[in-house]
Amino acid sequence: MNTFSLLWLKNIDPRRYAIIRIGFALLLLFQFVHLFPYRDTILSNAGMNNPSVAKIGFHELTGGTSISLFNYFQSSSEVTIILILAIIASLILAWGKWARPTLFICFFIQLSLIHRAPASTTGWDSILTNLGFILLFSPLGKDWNPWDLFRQWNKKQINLKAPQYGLVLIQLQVFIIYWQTVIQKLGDQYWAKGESITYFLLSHHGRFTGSWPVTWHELFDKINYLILLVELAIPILLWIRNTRRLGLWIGIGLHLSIAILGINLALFSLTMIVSYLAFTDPWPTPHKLRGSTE
Amino acid sequence: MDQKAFYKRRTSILFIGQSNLQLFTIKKSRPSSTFFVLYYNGLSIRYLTNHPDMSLNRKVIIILFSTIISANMLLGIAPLNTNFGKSISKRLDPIRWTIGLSQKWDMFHSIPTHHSLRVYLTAYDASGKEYRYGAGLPSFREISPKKLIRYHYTFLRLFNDPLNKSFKESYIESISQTLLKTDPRLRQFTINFDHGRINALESIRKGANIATTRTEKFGPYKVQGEMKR
Repeated sequence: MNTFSLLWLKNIDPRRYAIIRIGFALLLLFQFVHLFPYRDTILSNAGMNNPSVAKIGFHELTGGTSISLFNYFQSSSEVTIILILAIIASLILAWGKWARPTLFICFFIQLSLIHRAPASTTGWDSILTNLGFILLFSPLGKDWNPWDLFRQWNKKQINLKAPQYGLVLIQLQVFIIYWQTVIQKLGDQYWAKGESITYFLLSHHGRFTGSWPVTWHELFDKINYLILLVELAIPILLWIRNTRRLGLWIGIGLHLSIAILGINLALFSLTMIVSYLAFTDPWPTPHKLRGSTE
Repeated sequence: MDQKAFYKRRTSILFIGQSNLQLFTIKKSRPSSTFFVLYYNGLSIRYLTNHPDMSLNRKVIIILFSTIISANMLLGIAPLNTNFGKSISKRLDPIRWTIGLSQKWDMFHSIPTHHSLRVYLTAYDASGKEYRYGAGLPSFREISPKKLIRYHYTFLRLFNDPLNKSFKESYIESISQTLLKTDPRLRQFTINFDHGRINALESIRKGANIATTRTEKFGPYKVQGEMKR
């Protein structure tokens, strides 16, 4: 039981929370800018659906209750103002000023997108809400703005203040994301036959057009299985201190490859890379103090 | 010795912690202090009380919060094609989706066999003359699902997944009303998908095209102000 308490309450350097707050805020900034071209069509009442249908449709799809902000602010101009507000809030969040209220604004607007247009959501939308929810109830390292963090990056003084539960929950979420997706891929015929990468590169996601992936199919067949192993391994490698650097290289390499070879997937890759910040520890606790609560 | 005498005589309690022996002296010998010792040891509150800057209540709340959130995540790993996974999903999904903690991570598990998608509308007036419009409301602009990926997901989900029936009907209704405002002479319309699907790898290797494009037509639907549902 002690170990269980320690898992959540062990004190860590609050700068680790500041890093993930800044990374997450910038990620949200890109997300809200990315949503701008879609705002009239999928979020306003002049677009594809009106809010009353969105409420019914969201319930039919998920069983949940739609509490979207866009159910109340429906016109094109109101939706635009909300997105601008979200962009401003994400910038303030990155700076660390009013961190909790600005995070709540960003989280609620992101959640509102899913509740208003569930048919238009992508995989990274859910990752953002999950990480946002965890951070909303976690320390945010709000005393550290990016400038202070940069200036005092090399400061060795141990400043144990924040319990680590927020970062542990994000780490666990990364585990679940990778492992659940691998479990699902194992039941998919394309992944089982080693054809997934070739099809991916030929698909609407492929950046480089042409039939060249078919020529390289023998290689992609092996990469197909390698990726399944890599996805299983990444969270474990990130979790273990001694293999963390290797895990970061492999994980960032995988997601950069997805972003380069695929189109429209840069935000997904960025989301996963930002989630790795929960594992990184630039200021490791000296060995003799590890586990100490003092 | 009765219970009261027992508590009076007792001045210290020795117990074994998780990692070391600890001696706790109970200064006030009352049943409540015994309960405190058991609580302190059994639930590891001993560790919690070592944080000088945080109240005990806050620590308990943090542990409860973390336990609930992590349990939700761990339950999310159950595959949805199993009875257990379905049962968990049915019970938890309404709450998960409402508060933003959904655990459906199916990125790329289904390989995109879609090569291209072009969506457009054809509308007809009373004489049967054809007019072409883009599918992007509110201004019927041409939209490119390849460039703006959310449109790709949106259109395929609306027209291929029966669960999105409400959204599909609403979209058709919105088109109908907007067409009527744009040109009152229009009577009906169809929604067209030029949908390129990737051919089998073996066929491509033997010289076939990468994809075969077929036009899927949805409709015709009447152009009218308010549609009856």
